Amino acid sequence: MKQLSNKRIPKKFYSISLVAVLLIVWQVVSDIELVPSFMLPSPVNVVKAFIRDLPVLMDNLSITLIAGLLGLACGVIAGFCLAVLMDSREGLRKAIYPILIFSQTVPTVAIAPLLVLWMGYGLAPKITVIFLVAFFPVTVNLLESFQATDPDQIRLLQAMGATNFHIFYFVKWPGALDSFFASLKVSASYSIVGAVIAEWLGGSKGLGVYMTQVRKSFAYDKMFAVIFLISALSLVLLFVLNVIQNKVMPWRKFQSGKGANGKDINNEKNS
Amino acid sequence: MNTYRENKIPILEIKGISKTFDGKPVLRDLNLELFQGEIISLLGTSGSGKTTLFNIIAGIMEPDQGGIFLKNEEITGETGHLAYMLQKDLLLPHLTILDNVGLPLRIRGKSKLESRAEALQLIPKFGLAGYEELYPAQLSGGMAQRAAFLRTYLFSSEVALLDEPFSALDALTKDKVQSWYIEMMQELELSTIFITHDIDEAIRLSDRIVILQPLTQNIQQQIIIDPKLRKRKDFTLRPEFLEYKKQILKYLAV
Repeated sequence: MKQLSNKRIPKKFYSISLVAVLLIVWQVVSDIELVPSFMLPSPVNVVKAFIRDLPVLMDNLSITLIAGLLGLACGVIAGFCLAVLMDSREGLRKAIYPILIFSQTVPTVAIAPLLVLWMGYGLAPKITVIFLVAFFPVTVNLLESFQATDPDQIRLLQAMGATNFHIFYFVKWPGALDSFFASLKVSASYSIVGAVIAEWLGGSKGLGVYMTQVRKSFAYDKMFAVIFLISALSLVLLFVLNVIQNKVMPWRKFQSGKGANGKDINNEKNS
Repeated sequence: MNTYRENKIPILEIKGISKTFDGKPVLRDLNLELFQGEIISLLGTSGSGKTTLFNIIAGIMEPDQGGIFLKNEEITGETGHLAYMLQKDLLLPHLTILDNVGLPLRIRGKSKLESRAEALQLIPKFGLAGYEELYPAQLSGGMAQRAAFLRTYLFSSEVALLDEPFSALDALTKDKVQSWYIEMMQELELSTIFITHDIDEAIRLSDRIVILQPLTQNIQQQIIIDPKLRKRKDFTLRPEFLEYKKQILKYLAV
């Protein structure tokens, strides 16, 4: 009986109800002015601000999104190349790894103004900041996956007369796809946050610039609207990446769905 | 031994192979001939150099001395000539069974389409019809091993090196796969050297058993299994089977 009732409740029910409860509590706290409304605008006011500002928000969004995606693309390509290079030569790996770690200890907020100073207020400093935060997860995750390749698998392909390219193409890269997508999701969220931070510190347009403007004018309802938009943007990116991952890795859905006799239990659904 | 050799053509010759790791000899002046269509089992304790020998035969490793000859042509240190199969099926999880078994053809430079077409012709013979488009994760251990065996065969239909190919299977599956394998071997006439730790398996599957021992002259003893006996369904239950086993145990204990 208990199982039956559990089955009827969709998985997302619990998280959605929690969010709903939190929103209600927030609305009540604002309505009874437990916290002054200019400091904590109510959810209803945030939604109103969001709708009112929609054209301006979308205008700024496109700037941030373009910078974020460009930076992400550069970061992913560089991360991929670096991981391949470091995997191919032990000397390179040992030489580059410490620099890689060091690059992540430098706070983004500290170097962004410097980048603006060097590169001006255009797209370049933004892309550089995003690049710096986005390439690291890709490099590290890919490198670890490449290095974790089953040596027997490599031995087998070598016996077949495979070149290093064959081993990379048939074994290492497909075997690293799971880690690649995991790191891509991390980098995608970082890239949006990175773009906003870069815009805070210098820029003429974008969600970060807009955020600074509304904060200075104490329009906190508008500020919350921007925050929600940034979160939503990250979520959309993650969703898109999930869809792409399922398309690119069709075998993934079978890997945990093995029946007792090894025959796939999902197979009937698919055929 | 001499009568056994009569009228047989060696397809693979291992001549005077020596290999040392960090000053420690693993193989010393090892000589072995594999005849056309013959199945040899290499039995030996751990550290007797079986896998090293396989790596050298497959061309992944260079010997310090000696050479490997396939049909009188030297192939020492060259990969891509002999089929190699390991304990794990090592099917690539992202490729379908058809693409997995066709992998050696693709590495040899054939296109994806050609490889698939060639592999498809052999799929029914290996009992894999209907499994072509499934992923390895959808197969049982026994079926995956069949696919791995077909991949091995497409790799080379002349000589196969099998490194404990059945040891990862559970007892019942192992028995089934072995019976299937015996039938297949008779049909394919693939010359095979295979490594095993399982004495029963060695007696059941091979024409000749070679016992390797560490740090001595590598090949110590050879036992030739009577082919007529081996074909009998009750072979494993016969006193002769036990005699072979006793003999092997005696050699291994030395």
